[in-house]
Amino acid sequence: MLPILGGILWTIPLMWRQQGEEAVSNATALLYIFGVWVFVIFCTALVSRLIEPGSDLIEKEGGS
Amino acid sequence: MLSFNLLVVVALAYVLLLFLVAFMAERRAAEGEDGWLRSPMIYTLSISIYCTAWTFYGAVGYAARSGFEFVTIYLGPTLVMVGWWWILRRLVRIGKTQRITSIADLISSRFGKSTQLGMIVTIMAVIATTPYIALQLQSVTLSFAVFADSDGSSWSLGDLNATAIWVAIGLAVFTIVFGTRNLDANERHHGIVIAVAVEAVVKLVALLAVGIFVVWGLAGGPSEMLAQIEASELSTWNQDGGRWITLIFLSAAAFLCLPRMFQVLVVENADERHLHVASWAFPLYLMAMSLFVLPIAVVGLDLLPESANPDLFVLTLPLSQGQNGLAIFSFLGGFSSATSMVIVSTIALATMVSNHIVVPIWLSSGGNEGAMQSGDVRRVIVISRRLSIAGILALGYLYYRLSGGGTALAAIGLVSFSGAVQVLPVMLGGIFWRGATRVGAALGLVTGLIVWGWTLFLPSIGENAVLSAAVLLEGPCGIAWLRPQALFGIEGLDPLIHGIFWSMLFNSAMFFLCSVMSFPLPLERLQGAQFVDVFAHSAQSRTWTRGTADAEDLLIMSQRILGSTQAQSVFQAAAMDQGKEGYLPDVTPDFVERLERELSGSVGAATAHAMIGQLTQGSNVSVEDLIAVADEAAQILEYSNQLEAKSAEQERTARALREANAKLTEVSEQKDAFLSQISHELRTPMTSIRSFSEILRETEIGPKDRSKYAGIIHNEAIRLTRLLDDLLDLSVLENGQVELHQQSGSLSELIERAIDASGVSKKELRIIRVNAEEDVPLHTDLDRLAQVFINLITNAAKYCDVEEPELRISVQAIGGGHVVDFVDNGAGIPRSKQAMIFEKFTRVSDQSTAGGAGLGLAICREVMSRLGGGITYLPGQGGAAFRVTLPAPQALAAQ
Repeated sequence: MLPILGGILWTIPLMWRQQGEEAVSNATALLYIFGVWVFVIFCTALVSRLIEPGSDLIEKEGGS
Repeated sequence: MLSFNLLVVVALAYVLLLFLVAFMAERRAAEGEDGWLRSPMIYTLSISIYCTAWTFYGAVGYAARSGFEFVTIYLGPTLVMVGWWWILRRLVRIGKTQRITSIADLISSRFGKSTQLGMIVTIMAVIATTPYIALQLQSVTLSFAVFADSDGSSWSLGDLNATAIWVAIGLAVFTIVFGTRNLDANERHHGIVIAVAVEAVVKLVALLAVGIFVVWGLAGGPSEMLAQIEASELSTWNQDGGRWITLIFLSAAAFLCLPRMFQVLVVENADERHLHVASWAFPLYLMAMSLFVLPIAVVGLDLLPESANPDLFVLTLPLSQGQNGLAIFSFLGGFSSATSMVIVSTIALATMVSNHIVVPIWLSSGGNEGAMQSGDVRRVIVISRRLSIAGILALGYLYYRLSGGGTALAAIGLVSFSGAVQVLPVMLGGIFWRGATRVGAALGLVTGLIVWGWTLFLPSIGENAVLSAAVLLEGPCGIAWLRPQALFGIEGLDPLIHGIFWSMLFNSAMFFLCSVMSFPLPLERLQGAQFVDVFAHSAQSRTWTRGTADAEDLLIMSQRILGSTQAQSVFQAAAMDQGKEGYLPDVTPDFVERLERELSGSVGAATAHAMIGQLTQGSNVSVEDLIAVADEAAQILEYSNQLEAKSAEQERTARALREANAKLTEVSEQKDAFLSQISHELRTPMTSIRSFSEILRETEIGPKDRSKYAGIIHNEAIRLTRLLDDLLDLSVLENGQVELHQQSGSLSELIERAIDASGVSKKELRIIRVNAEEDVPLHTDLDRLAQVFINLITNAAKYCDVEEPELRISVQAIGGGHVVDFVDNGAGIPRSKQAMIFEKFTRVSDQSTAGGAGLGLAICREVMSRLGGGITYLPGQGGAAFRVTLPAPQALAAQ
């Protein structure tokens, strides 16, 4: 689920305007891309922590 | 200005430090203190070999040329790591259960342990990695050149080439020293892993340091930095959607498929739970690595002259500002990223080359029929691994020379990536789709390789190097639709997208179609089910059903591959699990399966399967196994697995009981036999003593005869005494009433003494003492130990039944203790007797000529157990072989 979310968030910039006055600047892009990155890392750490406690839980959730 | 010599000294000191760190880690691991070596953080850091010199130098150049595109190379792996649950966890689990040694082994093992597939993947991996290794050599060389330039001396091409050669040689030495120490690829290379982890920290800190210097030192702070980015020529977001998505896909795929990534992710993984931490820590590492790339590029473009190579901004920027210390640090960072990648890559490739190319060829070219010596296969593998390491680095150097070292770093890296990802369809198909077959996999791989080679690899070497400019423009022989960069006349595509698109399309299509059309072999089905359902089938189904092999033959073969020490310990452990003593377990299908897995950790699945197959002959996959694989039967399978486990347990107990019973019966029979024999043996000398003494008493005889008769009486009395002494000795030992006289001495003197005392002449028995390891200090009852040695030596002299008897005495250090092996060249002891020889009153041969009462070995065993050591029979050595385990040092210290 997270890779898909990340994938979608990181393809959004492709829809930004690329020419003309209203083109998005790379400084904004920098903030955006790294912002998503931090968000994804945070979520993963959270998820990992949640499934850490019992390895039994991992078996039951298999394939989710 | 910075002295170039200083830089060389720093670099050498750094290399020395790495050697030291690696060496210390190996030492700690050997002493068993490797807990911290297996921490999730070390695992995460070792994954960071993904960031090579291409990242370190190339990313900035990439950013300077194409803006934000560089970041895709890190987004892909981030997505893979974040989604570890789906693919990585599965790969790691499969790698663990099947003892996978490399990506080629994974593919070959999945598709019925096919040798050919292993070869194809290996060849692909070597071709795809070569440019990458060349790239690393190039980056290190260029960074040296930068410093040489700043020192005032401008480098010629010759200097560059010489540097590249020295770097390659140094890397080869390091890799050979630390990378080929353990043969079993499943054992982790502690030295290398720790060196790689150190290098990972160095490169991260170095890049961050340069970044911080640029943002705070040169630009004046984050907000000013952002403003400067706005103002620069890289100011606007300008991305081609096709390239953006293709590159994210490409880097994600390469992250899984590159041989070196597979090595650190799967093979060197010590614990599946490390993935939990790595899943967020590695993306964090990647983010930190790329955080300052754009700022450095922008400031570099701004401050440095236009002619400056943007690939080297990370170095030239601090240099131009007079920050020599920072420049050297950043040089070390780049050096680290290049070397760690090359080291791990060559290890991964060397394992693949030796297991999937050299050994199969060696086996089929008759190497197997030659002298069967323990450890000979192992030697071939180690040598071939060392040679392949050197060979792969030589190839990298060759590519570097061929390509002229001119192309931008990023471009070479992408070509290499796209070659590696040709394995992706087959790999994913293999672990998610049961229908994938060997034929499909092979054709898919070959097709992918050809299309990639034609559209990306050959053009990358440079115009006119292999492909002429005319071929690029007009196609081979003027066939326009075969132009390498515009297949089927579709022009205007980016060459990279073009190449990846067509190669992946053909590759996957061939794989899918041929898989659907071909029929898998039984073994493929079985392996397929085990791979796809790796989480459900924790209990593996069997590949070997009708084992007809003899345990001793299997042991001899394993000794050739694993070396005698390791093979014996595997067999001993298996025997212990079955509740047996000694070195020969029963040849159950479970055991053969376990052995095969053990061997495949060393030589790869295909070879291990083939070698065991030679011995077990008709063993194969049975119909029941296939039924068990079917999905519908999964429930029943689970239940029957439980039953099976229970019945296996019962079988084990029953076997142990049966054996104990047989032993008891035999002992009691032998005891009866012995009683009659002992009375006989006591009576014979008694009779002669009595009759001769009567003669002496009653008749008048001459002095000559009298002394003769007295001599006979004396000899018979001595024989009686010896027999009674032995009996007494044994009973004292068995009751534990024996007193031990602790003495100190050295093993070699003791063996010397035993040989002298045994009174065996050179003609009777030639004694060969192997190994200089005899210099072991002893503190135990030396007289008792000598008694054991003497007994073994005289036994060999008595029972070795060849014309020129030989006895080999060798000392080895095993698992912290020492053992002494006594091996003769006679016929050995038949299997049926091996369990009995240490029992009292046992004689192997019925010949009474030898004259013993069958007590010698029983006494030896009692003595050794009193001393805290042991004695066992060692099968599979060519003759009768006894292994004396010396008392452990701890036991000595306690006494």
